[in-house]
Formats: sequence, structure tokens, C-alpha cells
Amino acid sequence: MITEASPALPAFYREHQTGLVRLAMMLVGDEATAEDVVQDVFVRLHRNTPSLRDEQKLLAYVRSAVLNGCRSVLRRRKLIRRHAERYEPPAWSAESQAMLGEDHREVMRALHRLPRRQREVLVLRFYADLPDEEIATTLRIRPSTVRSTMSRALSALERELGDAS
Amino acid sequence: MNVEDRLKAALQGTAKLVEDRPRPLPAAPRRQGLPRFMPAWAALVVALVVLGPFVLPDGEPDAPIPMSSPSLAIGTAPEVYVAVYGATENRKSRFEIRSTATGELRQINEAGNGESFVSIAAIPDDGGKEGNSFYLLTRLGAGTQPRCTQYTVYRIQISTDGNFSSWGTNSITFEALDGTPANLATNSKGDQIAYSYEGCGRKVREGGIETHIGDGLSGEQRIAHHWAGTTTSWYADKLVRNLAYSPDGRTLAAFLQSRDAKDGGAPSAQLRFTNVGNPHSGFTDERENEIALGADNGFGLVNAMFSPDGKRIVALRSESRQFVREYKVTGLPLPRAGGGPRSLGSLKLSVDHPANLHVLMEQHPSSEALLFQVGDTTFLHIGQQSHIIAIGEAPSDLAW
Repeated sequence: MITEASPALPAFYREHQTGLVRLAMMLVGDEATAEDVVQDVFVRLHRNTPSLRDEQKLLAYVRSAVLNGCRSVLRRRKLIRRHAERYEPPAWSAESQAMLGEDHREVMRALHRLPRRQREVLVLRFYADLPDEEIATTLRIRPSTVRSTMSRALSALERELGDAS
Repeated sequence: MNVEDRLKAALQGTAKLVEDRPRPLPAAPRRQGLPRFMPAWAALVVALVVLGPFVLPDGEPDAPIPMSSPSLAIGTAPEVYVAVYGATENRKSRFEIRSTATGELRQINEAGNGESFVSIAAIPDDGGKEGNSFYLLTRLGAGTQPRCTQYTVYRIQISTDGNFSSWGTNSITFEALDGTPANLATNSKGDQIAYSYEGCGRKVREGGIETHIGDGLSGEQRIAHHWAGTTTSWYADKLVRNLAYSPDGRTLAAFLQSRDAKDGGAPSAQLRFTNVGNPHSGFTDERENEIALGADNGFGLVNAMFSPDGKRIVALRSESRQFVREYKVTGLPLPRAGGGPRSLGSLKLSVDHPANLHVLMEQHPSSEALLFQVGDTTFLHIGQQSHIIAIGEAPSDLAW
């Protein structure tokens, strides 16, 4: 069992932090914000660790929390702010200095034109390589919804990219 | 290369931009960069108002709010709550039944084609042993009159283990200006229903005779009260912020605010009452039945509700300055109860958050727990501790 006092939590963080930052990066677009999201999750986790009996379940819990953090970031970016704040363009935008090839930029821009849930399902399948049941647990939806969302998402992405099926 | 391969390659390429290197955790919670769960301690403040006359120390730093877990003891709070989402371009309207302890999604129920759920109110004392009843205000579609949209109120049933069991009957159907019905309220037994809306009526002149068609004039703020098969509606000269029945069901309170009030500004807010025993009375003009919530040193009204014992109004106000958003809660005695307003606490918080947050606040009459929706975060406040139970799309309303 992983608890707050357990030495396993720091090791858990060291093992999974890069993968989680990369996952967040797919959704928020810049590494600094992705790091903020993941580190905030672990700071809260350290203060109130859930009693989860195995590491896989803790990883699913944390992954879900990271996705939630990314949603909050994206939601706030859409809103008018009272004062200026630091903002990095996503790695796939034309303004970004990130070393990302043009085809990859085009695909990522198309991905980010999709509805949020479709985007998340595609990232969890095609980047994190998760099966339907784990995607369902992470997103708190049914496995059948994962399958139907995946199908719609791939069709929508194809249309966005103008690819022939 | 097919779309799946292109997607995999793009995702891997994006992932490689992130270097695999140590990232030490910060020593203390951040205060910039990511928004804090700012309103969480507003939940703390309000809960303390309702549960006891604590005085909150000024300048107390906000503690990180933990996420809930399956082991969270919810006491007498309902096992599930219901969150309502309106329709968008990409998906149907739905209501979600979620676990109170963990926010876990139990069930989703979509609206029929063309329908959209707007607001929900629980019926805490419906006498049902099989579960709980709720009223669900629903947009149906175009009305019978020009510029009017038709709405109805369904009575739905949810079992004690969180399964939706029936749509029930829709006892009320009315027409209003599209997008304006809100603030659905019901008394504890569910035999009285109130809601606010803007009229879509109009005046027609024909043959020198002017006729008024529809309920209220277009854009006119109104309140409707349905009881014993009769719906009475009346004009409200200010924006209706919230409606609530007193716990004994004898009074309907309307929290009103000037339409030109800006967020955190100084609106003129009032609380008015009507005696529901006489559904045709509308609002009285007697001063003793009004409480001026008003502008309290620039603090604007965010929300207000009855205390569980029905003796006080809990008014949640907020005010924004350059980098600080401050919330404070005032306990206001009801008319005839005597005494003046009592300041129950305030806290300042440095946050980065949008100016306009939709703050929902629900308290179940059988429990001391509070359910809050602030922005995209749902909080459960129980046992003097707030817990995050869900983060995601902000619902338009919730109830339990």
C-alpha cells in the first residue's frame, strides 16, 4: 500500500514524472505548463495520498488528476484575464520555436481542433498506449464510450487532415 | 501513411521535446502559474457560517485542497448528486449521477433530440422509500408564439444506489425568452415550484384594440410560482440571482440584484419574500419583508441561501482588487427576528483566476455537508474540511 509516509511515493514520482509531463505536454502544448500541472498533482498527493493498494491504480489516479489539471489550464486560457501573465504558444503553433517538423505540427494542430474528449482518448491510446478499460478509468467513462469516441475521433481527425481513408 | 500512424509519429515527436531529466518538486505549494482552487476556502467560510460562529483569522494562507477518496466518510449526506449540462454544438444535453464521496460517474442520461436540461432542484422530503425525486427544468424547443421558447419541468426519480429510474410526468409547461429560465426551486415536499425567467410576450394592436399576448413583455424579468395546479407569475424589477423556499415551505425568497452590477462591484441587492400560502400575493411592498443585501464596502453578492434552521440568510460576497480576490460571508437575520447583520469572517487570497466564476452552493437539509461548484471544480465540504470531488466541464446546475 502506498501511503504518505511510504518511501515509495518519491520513487513513484521519479519513475513516472517524465511520462506524465509528456502526457500533459500533448494537451497543453508547452513544457513549463505541463511541468506545473504534474508537480501540482504530486504536491497535493503528498499531502493526502489515497489508500490505493497497487502502483498501477495509483498511476491511473495520478494520470486522471493530470488530465484534470490540463483541462483547467485550457479552460482558463479561453477566459479574459484581469492582468497579464506568462503564456507560451503551443509547440505545434507557427509562433513556437520548438523543433517540431511541419507534418507533426499539422497533425497536432488538427488534434487540437477536436473536442476535448476525443483529443484525450486519442492521446491516451496512441501516445500512452492504454487499453480501453484503462482509458475508461482515467476519463471516468464507460469502455463502450471509449470505443465509440475513438471511432468518431479518428474519423474527425481524418477529415481535419484531409486524408483519404 | 494512414492517419493512425501519422498521429503516433506526431505524438512521439512532441513527446521527445520533453527531456527526461529530474524535476524536483517545489518545497511549498505554488502561488503563481497555475490557478489555485481559490473558491475552496470560500466553501470553508460559508460552511463555518452555517455550522458555527467561528471567526476566521485574517491572512491565513490557503491550504491545498485534497482530492477525495473512496474512504471519505460522508455521514448523512446523500450518496449521490446530480449535475446538469446543457446541449452544445458537439453533444447532447445530459445529467450525470455522481458519487458524493469520490465524484465517480455512476450514470449519464442524455436528453432527447432537441431538448436541453437547464436547472435541477432536489425534493428532499418526497416521502419516497425507493430513492429521491428531482425536478428538472428542460428546454423543449420553439414555442407557440414568436420569439418564445417552450420549457417544461420533469419530475425524475433516482434510486438510492444512484440509478435513474423514471422520467415521471412534466407538470408544468411554459414559454419564455430563450435561455432565460433559471433558478429552479422547490419546497421540501415538492408540491410547490418556483423559477425565474424573462417574458416573451408582446402587445398586438388590431382594429384600434391593443392586446397583450403571452406572459410578460419581452425581456421582462419575472418569477413564477406553481402550486395546487395554478401558476402565478409576477414582475421582478431586478435580476433574480437565486430563489429559495424556507425550510418550512411558507416563504419564497428571491435574491435580487441590479442588472448593471459588475463582477465584484457594488450592486444593489435585495432579498424579498412572498407568502406562499397566498400564491396570488406576489411580493409585498412592506419594508419588513425586505433585507437590503446591498453593496457592503464594494463587495458584490455572489450567492445566498437559507441556513438549515431557516432563521438566517447566508450571504456570500466577493470583491476583487489588483491581485487579490476576497470573499466574505455575512449572516443576516430574517425579518422580525431582530438583530443586525453579523460579520462571520473573511479571507484574502492571491490567485490567478477568471473574473466571473459560476458559484453554485447546495446544502442538504439532513446533512451539514455542503456541495460547491466553482468554475470547473466540484467541492464537498464536510467535517470542516473541503475535498475536491470532480474537475471537468462546469455543469449549469447541480443538486442532491
